[in-house]
Amino acid sequence: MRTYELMVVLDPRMSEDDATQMTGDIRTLVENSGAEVIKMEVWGRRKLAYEIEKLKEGRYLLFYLSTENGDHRLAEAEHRLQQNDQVLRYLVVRTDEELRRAGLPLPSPDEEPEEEAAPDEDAEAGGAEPGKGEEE
Amino acid sequence: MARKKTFFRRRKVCKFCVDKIEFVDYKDTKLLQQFIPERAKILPRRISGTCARHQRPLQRAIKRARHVALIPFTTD
Repeated sequence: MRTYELMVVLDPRMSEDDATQMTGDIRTLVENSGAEVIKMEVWGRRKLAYEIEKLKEGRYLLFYLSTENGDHRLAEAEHRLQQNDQVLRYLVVRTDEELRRAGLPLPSPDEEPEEEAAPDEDAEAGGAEPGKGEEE
Repeated sequence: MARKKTFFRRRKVCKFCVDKIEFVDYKDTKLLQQFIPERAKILPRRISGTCARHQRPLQRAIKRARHVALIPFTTD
């Protein structure tokens, strides 16, 4: 399995609704190219470090993707993004190799219930944390 | 003959080795910012003390972050 990150910077002048629409469109575009969206982050409007097309702000989106054995056509999706005038910038980065090398977990979808780690669990359950313990 | 001056130089260490940062994320602008001084150039290893093994991913992360305008190429 390979994982990727796709960051998209959209034109800040579009309306909130259009942005939501666009976000959905990009998601579909990516999914149609054979990648699975594991997680998505909407950063919203953010100041650009430098002006792009005279704009000082951008709307940031971040997709965490995974594909099975490189069986995808992300290049096609990229091409489509490039053609889109609403897209100021995009960036696709393959992350699985680096993450693995660093011994970090690959991105996984956020679990719905956040407060799952029940605080009332008795402490002497015998160190229930499996693996990944910090070694000295 | 002039007496040899003795310099006491603080030994530079690689931040990534010390902090055990093995994955340099281009989205981590706080971290990257530390390696781009005023003119926003990439701080050379000889100044920052970053080891070669970590300067490479750092450099890559900075370039990626620049592309998506998270950090500047230069100051105007």
